[in-house]
Amino acid sequence: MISIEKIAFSYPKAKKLIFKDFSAEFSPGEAVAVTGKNGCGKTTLVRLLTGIERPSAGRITIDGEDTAGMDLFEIGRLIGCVFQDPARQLFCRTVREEIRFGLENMGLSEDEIESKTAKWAEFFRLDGKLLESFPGTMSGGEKQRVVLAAVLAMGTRYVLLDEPTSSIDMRARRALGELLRDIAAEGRGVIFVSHERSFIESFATRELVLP
Amino acid sequence: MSSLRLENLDARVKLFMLLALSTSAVFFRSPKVLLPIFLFTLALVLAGGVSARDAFMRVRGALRLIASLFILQCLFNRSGAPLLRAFGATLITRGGIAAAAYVALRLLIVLLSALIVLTGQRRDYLLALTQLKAPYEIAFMVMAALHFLPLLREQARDVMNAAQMRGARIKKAPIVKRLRLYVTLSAPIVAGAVRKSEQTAVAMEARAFRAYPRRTSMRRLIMKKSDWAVFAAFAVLLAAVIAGGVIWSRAG
Amino acid sequence: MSLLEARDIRFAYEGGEEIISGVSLAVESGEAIVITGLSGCGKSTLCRCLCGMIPQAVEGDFSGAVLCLGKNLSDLPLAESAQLAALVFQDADEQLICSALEDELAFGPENLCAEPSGIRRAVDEMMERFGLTEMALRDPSSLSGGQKKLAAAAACLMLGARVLIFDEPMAGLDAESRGIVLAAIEELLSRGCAVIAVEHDLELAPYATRVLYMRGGRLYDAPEEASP
Repeated sequence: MISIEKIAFSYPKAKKLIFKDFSAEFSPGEAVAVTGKNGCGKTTLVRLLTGIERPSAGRITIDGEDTAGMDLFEIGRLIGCVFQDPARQLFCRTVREEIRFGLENMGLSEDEIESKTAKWAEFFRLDGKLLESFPGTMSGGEKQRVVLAAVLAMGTRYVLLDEPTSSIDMRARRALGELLRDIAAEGRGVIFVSHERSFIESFATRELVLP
Repeated sequence: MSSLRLENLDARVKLFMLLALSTSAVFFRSPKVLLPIFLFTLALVLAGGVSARDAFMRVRGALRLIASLFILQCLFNRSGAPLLRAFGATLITRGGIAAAAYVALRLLIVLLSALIVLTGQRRDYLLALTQLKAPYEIAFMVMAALHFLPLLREQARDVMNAAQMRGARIKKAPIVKRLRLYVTLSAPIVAGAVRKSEQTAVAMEARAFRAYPRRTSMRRLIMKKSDWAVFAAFAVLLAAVIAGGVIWSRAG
Repeated sequence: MSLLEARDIRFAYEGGEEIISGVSLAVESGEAIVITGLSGCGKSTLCRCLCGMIPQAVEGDFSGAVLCLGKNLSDLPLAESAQLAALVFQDADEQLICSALEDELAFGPENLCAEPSGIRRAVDEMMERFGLTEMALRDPSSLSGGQKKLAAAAACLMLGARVLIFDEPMAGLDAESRGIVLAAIEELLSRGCAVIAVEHDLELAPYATRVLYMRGGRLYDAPEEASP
């Protein structure tokens, strides 16, 4: 379970507190949609959960362990995060390398890496020629699918997504929604930030509205 | 008086101040000239409305560098009369202190004078440059760089974060591996920046940028009486401060 | 004469395969056309062809013609074709370069050497028209997603464009921002402009006069014709 306990946070140069005495819980088996108005802190919450930003008060624990003592690498092993802008998460020369990156760092065998890469590339319709393409020149929707494949292939216990459906088409959206539901059903935890009403209503088990 | 605050001062006067102070910092070598200039710059910045806290925050980053340079100079510059002896050896000499002071003061003057310019808006400096007859393409280039550099830094940070979350242990890696990771990760950022700048160049062309050799401007910077007064006072005071410093250095 | 007419456009990026394989289209004033298709099908490329950016600013193999008010956009320098048909990028940050909104709107006319007081009047009017007056001195990059698209559209209109092409206008925008963009498009249509919006979804379809489907570099009138 991911537990947020009475955190407070504001950006260094900002005047107002984005979070003040905020608490929330995310359990495995859930697919929680985080919603709220523009500027209420949805993306900030993502950054706090991944450890990119640290709360000025309170604490965040993942399966009982306080994230304050963990660095991004350690948190990344527990939470796979797909951030809002795909362009800022792609850094390999081909789609294949991109998907392999996380898997290689997990120390899996070559066979396992190959099979997972193939499986996830196929799921997100990135197989064939696309697999050897340079992600940088792909369309917005394709980039988003590459990041989804690269992160989800790692099979982390929790999955955190910030606006995962913003650039992808109807077909991919449905596939993603069903996948997230399956992940939750497996006993893992899913948290996603979205403002797509239909997506939330179809696939979220619970909605958390930020004040 | 609000007209004397740096943020309300004409951008051209501020550019002149920056230029004058930085040039004198680089031109004069004697700490006896640099110290008065430094104090003058500090007084100007504080009197102009920059809070002492902001001034300190800006200089803070460089203080460590200045301190290490200071120590290095003191230890390795053996010229002049010895000032500090211990265990029979000379630790610090006069020449060492002078050289160290020179380096430190120069850096401090440049850093503080940058604060003068930071009290304004990008658009005013763009106007200032073009009204001072700089070619508009160059002025725009400088402004574009100022606009995009922080975005690039943000992007670099985001890519590093994403890579770490996918298992790249950057912080604990040995230096060679870390450097290699930095290089691999900066490639897409640079490529992305190049692509974005191409797109932006096309967008600008589509709004007729460089369609003609000159362009008009909706706004115009106009020097107020107070701007002229500050400009004149600054020039006279700086000249006096430098003259005083030169006399002092000749005397001692 | 149509406001914008594309005649059998074909385009391939340098060294690449043909992405646009014979697109013909006629758009009248007051029309809103939505072109939809899967990601990667060439929608962004088509946008650039329709406003003259291709072939003027992009290398590749281009054939066919795009006529706006009778003038062939390929024959005009980009600065001139932008005064007829303009493109609002998917990523508004690539298009907004000034540090104040009013400067952004003034940018185009300044480049065309328009007279300063005339520019001031036109900028004030444009901001009033789109409800941007309060944000005149704000940095465009600090605006919300929808406001940025609005600012980019307004900046394009300052040059007098009659056809506005939007590349994924709704992508990544929240409900409030979407409302802003929709209202802007309605305003444009009421003034006799034509709007072509390209999107991977069908969000704007209910507001369009016509919906076209893109696949394999061509446009179709019905989704069945376009499906694989």
